[in-house]
Amino acid sequence: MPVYIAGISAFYHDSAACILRDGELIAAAQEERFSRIKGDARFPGHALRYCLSHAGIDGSRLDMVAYYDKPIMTFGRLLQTYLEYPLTSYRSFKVSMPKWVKEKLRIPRIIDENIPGFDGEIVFCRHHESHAASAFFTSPFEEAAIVVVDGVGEWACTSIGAGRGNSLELLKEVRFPHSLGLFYSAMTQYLGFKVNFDEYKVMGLAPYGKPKYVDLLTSEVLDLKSDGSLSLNLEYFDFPQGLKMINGRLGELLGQPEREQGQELTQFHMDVAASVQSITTETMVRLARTARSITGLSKLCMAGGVALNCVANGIIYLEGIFDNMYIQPASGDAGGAVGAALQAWHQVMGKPRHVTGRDGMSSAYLGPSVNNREVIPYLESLGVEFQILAVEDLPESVARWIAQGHIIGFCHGRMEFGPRALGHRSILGDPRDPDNQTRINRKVKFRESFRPFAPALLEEYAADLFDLRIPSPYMLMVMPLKPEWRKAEQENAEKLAMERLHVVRSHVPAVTHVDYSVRIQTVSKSHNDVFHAIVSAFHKLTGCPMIVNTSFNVSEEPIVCDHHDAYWCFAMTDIDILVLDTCVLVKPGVDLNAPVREYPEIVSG
Amino acid sequence: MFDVNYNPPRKLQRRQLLVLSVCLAVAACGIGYLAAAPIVACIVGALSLMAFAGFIAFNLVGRDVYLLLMVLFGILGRLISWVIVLLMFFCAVTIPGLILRLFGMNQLDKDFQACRKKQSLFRDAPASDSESFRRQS
Repeated sequence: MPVYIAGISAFYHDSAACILRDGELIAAAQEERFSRIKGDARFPGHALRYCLSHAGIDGSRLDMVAYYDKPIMTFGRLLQTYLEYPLTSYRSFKVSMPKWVKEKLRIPRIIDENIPGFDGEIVFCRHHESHAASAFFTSPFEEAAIVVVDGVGEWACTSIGAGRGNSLELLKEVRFPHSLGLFYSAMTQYLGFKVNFDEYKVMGLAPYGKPKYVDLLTSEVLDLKSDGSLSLNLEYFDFPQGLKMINGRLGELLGQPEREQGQELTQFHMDVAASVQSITTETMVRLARTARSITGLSKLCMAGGVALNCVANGIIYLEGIFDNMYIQPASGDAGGAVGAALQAWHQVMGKPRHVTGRDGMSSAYLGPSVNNREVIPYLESLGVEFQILAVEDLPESVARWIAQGHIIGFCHGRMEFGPRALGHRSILGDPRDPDNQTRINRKVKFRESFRPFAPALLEEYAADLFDLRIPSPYMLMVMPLKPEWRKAEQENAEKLAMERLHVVRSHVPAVTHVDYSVRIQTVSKSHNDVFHAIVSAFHKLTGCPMIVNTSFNVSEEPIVCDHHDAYWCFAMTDIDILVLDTCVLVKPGVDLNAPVREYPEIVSG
Repeated sequence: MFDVNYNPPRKLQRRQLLVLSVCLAVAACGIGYLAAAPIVACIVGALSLMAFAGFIAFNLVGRDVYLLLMVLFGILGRLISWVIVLLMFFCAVTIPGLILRLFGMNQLDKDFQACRKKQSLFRDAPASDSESFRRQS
């Protein structure tokens, strides 16, 4: 009889569940996709039910449940912190205690209540060990150095370790409150974005600015050591004892108060974002060097929320510190569920690990599937017109529509696990069209116009466009575009901030950020057959080996999960064509027979 | 806050009114005899009578009495929980925290200047074994 282990992450942010069958990850999903509450931190009941139904079992067949944190250790850290601030931590105490009493200190009971029939064992993994396990045990490496960086786990904020075979050991750690993740979140708040949600906006804003405040920040606000460890000057931060991340002193130091949400972004904010990004990148590079020197291993695995910082990841790769690197695609707390379950399999049960040369994340397609059996009755019940394509015709049709300049909502196959849409819950467009960045940002996703898009690029062409010799299937690496694909470098350099948005900077302007960087998703046939066929067909039609791939959602909403979510997102936005499995819906006025757009200057792949 | 649209089955509302009436009557007696506070005892007694009237004549005034008492005790509940949390904070955090501060406790490495002088903030990570996974700490 197969052994089933469920992994759970919950009660902090972005809760998720997964299930292993005999050590193989067969399903995983974030609760937000079902509840439609972005970053939903509640117990992942829907996600867990999906995982169990995918495995075809009920709770009584589960052998073990692994939770991704040690709650009492975390509670100890919280109390310790309050004791350090005996007069000023009341507001935080008042808010957090009821949550701890109601939920976080009752994890075993909550698990029992939510999994009827379960009478197996519950195990608790340390937060950073869960992250480390999620990266190493799913990596294609027999042995690797491990770097985990996030806000905070129980005590650890940064950890370095090593994985060999089925064992994993964390060797060094930097403890709370000296956290790179919390520093980044604090600066996210200073820049008027939402903590734990909008950190990636800071990363996207950074290329518009110059890192003018690095010296000031590294002398007054944090002290960065040569080994990548850092200490924070807590005079500028409120997070240990208050409800906010920062206090007014940071604004006084930088010369401007904290930006209000929705307030205009100025060059100052862009310069601060650039400075924060620069410090983060430098810290990550130093941590990678330290990991290499401590472990002596030539491959790197990374996880934790900060490992989603693709700019830093790209620089670590370009620095050549490691021969190869793998970043867990669900590096945030959601991925902790996978790590906890894998730790239970390998380290609690002592099961061996088989390295196959492929990662163990199944291209992150671990969520619920969309299929015509459900889609067709749904569309018929809505009374909308649609056509059904043959599976073999789908790639060429989608590629042609993209080349005609249409925006496609593509909902096909199993949903991705993690924050990125990788071609199954994606909005697709033509990267050659200079208007597409603004158009998709403003009319489809309803978000800030400065936000860049990423391309899905045929893996075999990655080395032609970038200095990239390893695959980047999970869109976790930002690389500079090679000069031969760039345009208007002089004009781009002369323009200020947002003016640069209107410069046609490359032959693929919709996916080229203002600093000529590109967040790459490499697409291979082995990772995703249908999506690879779409990009290949687009390449054949246009000579361009990539398409725009952005997540199928609107601002502030989770990525769509099923055909209902996809249809309503399609109906409310300027998406031209919706593909649900192989059913196709077209907005009125969209001409499917329009000519393929020509951009004669495109460099043919 | 209490939701005025909350409308459980009539039988349940009546039962809650009866329980409230009895509890308040006991409290009124206690306050009157033991704490020798006749005015407070009278107020609590009046509330007890009100709840009992609501129980007896539920069709006439029961729902209004029920809502009034629920709102009142909702506010009282919040006030009491606020006092309890404040007391907990004072006893479990403020006093021990101040005492520990006297002894120079600095678990969080809060002193930035002292941290600057260190070569590294790294320390050894605690080891895990298969038994440690069974603990929440």
